[in-house]
Amino acid sequence: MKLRMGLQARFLVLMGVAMLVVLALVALLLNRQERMRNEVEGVSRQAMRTMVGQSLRRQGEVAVTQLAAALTNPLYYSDLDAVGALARSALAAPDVRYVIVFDEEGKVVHDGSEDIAHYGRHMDDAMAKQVIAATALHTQFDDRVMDVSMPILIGQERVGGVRIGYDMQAMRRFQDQSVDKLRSRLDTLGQRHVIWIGLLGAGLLVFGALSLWLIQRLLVRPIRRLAESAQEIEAGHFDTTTPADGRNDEVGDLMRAFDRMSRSLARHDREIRRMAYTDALTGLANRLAFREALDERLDQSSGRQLALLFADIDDFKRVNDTLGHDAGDDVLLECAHRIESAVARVGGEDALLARFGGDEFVILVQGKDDPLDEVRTLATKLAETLVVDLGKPVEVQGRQVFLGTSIGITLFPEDAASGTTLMKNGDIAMYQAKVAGKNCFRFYSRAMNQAVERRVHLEQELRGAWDRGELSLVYQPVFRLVDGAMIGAEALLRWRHPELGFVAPSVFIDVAEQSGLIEVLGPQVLHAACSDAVAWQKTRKDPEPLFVAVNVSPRQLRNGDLPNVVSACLRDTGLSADLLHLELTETAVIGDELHASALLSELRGMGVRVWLDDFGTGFSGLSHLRRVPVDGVKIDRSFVADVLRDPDDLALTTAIIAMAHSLGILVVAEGVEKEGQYSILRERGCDFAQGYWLGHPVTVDEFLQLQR
Amino acid sequence: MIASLRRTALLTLCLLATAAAPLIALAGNDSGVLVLGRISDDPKKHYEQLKPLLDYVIPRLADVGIHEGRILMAKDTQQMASYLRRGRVDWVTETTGTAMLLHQRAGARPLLLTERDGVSHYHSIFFARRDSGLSSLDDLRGHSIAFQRPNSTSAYFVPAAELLRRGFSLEILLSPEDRIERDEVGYMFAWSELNISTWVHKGLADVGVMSNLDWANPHRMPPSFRNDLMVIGETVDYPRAVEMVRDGLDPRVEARLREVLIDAAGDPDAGDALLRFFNTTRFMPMDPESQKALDRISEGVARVRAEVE
Repeated sequence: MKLRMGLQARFLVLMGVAMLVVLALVALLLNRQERMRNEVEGVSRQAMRTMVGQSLRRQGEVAVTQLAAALTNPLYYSDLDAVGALARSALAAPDVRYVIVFDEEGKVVHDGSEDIAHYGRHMDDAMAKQVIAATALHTQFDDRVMDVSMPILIGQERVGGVRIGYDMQAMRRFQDQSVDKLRSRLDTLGQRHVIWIGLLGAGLLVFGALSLWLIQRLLVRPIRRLAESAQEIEAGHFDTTTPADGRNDEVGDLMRAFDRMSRSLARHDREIRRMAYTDALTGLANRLAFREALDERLDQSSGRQLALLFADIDDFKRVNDTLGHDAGDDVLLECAHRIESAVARVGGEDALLARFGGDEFVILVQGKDDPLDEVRTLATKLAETLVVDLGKPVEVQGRQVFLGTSIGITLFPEDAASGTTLMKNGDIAMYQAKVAGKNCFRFYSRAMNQAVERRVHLEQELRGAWDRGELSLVYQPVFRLVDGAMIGAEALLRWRHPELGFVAPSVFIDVAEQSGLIEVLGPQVLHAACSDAVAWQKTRKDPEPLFVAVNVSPRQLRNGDLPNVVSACLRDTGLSADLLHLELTETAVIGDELHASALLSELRGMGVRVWLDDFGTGFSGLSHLRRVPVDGVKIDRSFVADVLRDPDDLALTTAIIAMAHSLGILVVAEGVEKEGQYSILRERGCDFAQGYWLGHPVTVDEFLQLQR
Repeated sequence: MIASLRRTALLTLCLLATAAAPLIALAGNDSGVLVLGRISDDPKKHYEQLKPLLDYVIPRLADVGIHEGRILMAKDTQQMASYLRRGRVDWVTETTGTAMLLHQRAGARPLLLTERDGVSHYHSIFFARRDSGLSSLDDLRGHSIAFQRPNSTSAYFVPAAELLRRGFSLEILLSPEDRIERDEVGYMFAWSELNISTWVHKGLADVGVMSNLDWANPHRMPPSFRNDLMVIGETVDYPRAVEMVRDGLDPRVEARLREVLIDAAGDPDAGDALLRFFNTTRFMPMDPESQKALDRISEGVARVRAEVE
């Protein structure tokens, strides 16, 4: 446990400091008291010594004076009996050590004893001299005795004297006893003080402990609980509660506020989670949720087989483009519903469905602890069901829309070990299904991966191919059906790779379109084509000029920069604007009709002709031609190919030609490979035609040769 | 002490002054009252000692006309002698010397001998320091002797008479320091037996004298002193004390009183009264031997009074 300065610890330290201060004060107090006691004792001893000394002296002097008076007559008459009685009575007084009655010469007359052993002996002690010489009351001291003497006189005649010795040691003992008594009283008093101080200290301790307990209970515990709750919330457990225990104070308010906050956080968290993990439109799990679930499953699935199904609605973009986004959403919802029910029926209990945005759905199915075939079978069954279910027409805005689905399937752990790779694999498989003609499913294989890698490699190679001169333009002549005269040529791009050889345009154009490389290539192609066209005009003997037709990708059109690019090319090359025909696919135009119309009008304003390529394959129908300003349409080669065998195609082609003419626009047929086709198109009034029967695409040099 | 003494004296004087007149009036030959007398310096104390025996005696004298007893104390011998002469005191108890003095001065007659503390007779002892060189009374000339007081029988009358009889002449000394001429014996009063023993022991007096009872009493003769002292002479025995009656007392009363007092020793009812009466153990009739002793003391007292004082 990490030591830290918590509230409680701080308060403990504070209490400790307070206690130390109190203890110091108490010690000081006790010390002062002890000193005072000693001083009092000293003063008392001094006072007592003085007092007792004075008292003793006074007492002694009074006693000696009285004794001397009483002794006068007996001494005079040598009444030793009476002298002895008086001496004895004086001797009986407390602390009297001796009583000596002496004659005028200083000889002992009586000492109070029965046999008066010292009778007649001359007093020779240290004090005797002064005693004998004294003519009045005389007091002297030494360490042991206070000697008080008084001469005994009759008239002026001295008959002797008396002295009493008082025991100073007894006095001192008495004094010591008194001081001891005082001392013990003071000690008792001091002890009482100590007891009181002790009680005070104990009281302080109790108060401190109580405060500590209260602080622990009122502050530290709730704060700790708040901190714990905060840590819980920090760790993501929003359902933590901090009960305020019915407290009505600030801490209680804080805890309630904290509780409300955590609940609010939990609510927001749920909301955010929901938003983060679900798809807003369908309510299905989204990519993030699916990804997490997938990783979780991968972690858990020890030996379990998983299959990932990537389902992409075919041609959904067309719905969005032609029927609007609301219709698109309706279609998506319907598709989601169908997928959901299919998964519920076929996918097994642990199946997981998510929408990855757009028209992409992902399904995770889980096999039992059985062989790999189990999950493969399950995935196959589900994919078949989906293909069938989604192949049924969708009713939207009163119309039936036919869609399909392309499904890529990848297996775990067969295809990949990580979620990221699995998803990529699924995507690749799905793409392959699309490539395979849509509305079908494909299992992922390493070959697919190689195809993708090849595609990536192509993209890398295509970048810079123009500069290396690998790309070249060929021109396919376009003829006027009425007189069979060549009136122009369509520029077609060819790629001859040093290692790969000729790469099919459908492949690399798609790569360029997908990778955005087209935006670089397009203007270069346009520029080259314009230059070549100018060259034709110079070498051509026939005064009728030849136009050049250049394909423009949808991406170029969406860019919006197209008119500037075109005008720059025209200006640079000096090609007459009316000799430049731009071919746009129907879908490119229809994608954003308004924007496309504006662009096309601008181009046409420059004099450039605009042709609609692959006409007839889209949904637009002829009604669009009224809104989109084009100079002509190019009937798709699929119509032309069957025009001799299929009466429907012939009828359609005839109708297109008639309708275009009625709108005042020209019609070009492409893919004319047989004479019959040429004849019938001419018969039906088609304006121009191109195709192998009329002329293969040739290099610019060969094309120039044709002019001569 | 002094104040107390003074008060006592004053009280005594008042008592005497106020009581004298009625006592005098009632006494005398009024045969209904018996007056017991005593020479006293402490009448208050002595009254309590006399009263019980008087109370014992009076009822027993009813048949001889005595129905009341009284106590009258005198300050000194002269006053008591006066009382006895005038018939104011009927009965006095005294030591032998004083009794004989009263006999001479007031004509009082011995009634009975008194035995105190079981002692009916005693004698006086002369003593000196062993190192004084004195070994007998004959060596006393030129030396000093300590008597007790002038009314003491054993420590004055009897020994002084003994010395006179031995031919010494006695001269009073002013103080122990006073010296005496060679062929005389100096004497001084020590006022207490203890003083006598102390003076002799401390050399203030050459010789001391006291009764054999006092000589044996450690309070009057401390053993430490006695060890240093030696007896150098003794007197003959003489009665311890004497009951005296005045001259002219009714013979019937006198006879009856003698009878009652003699019987008292055998009467349990009198036990306490006797004990209080100066530790009297019994009264004894006068015997010839004692009478002779009394006579000799009487003679001695007379001589002392004549030659010494």
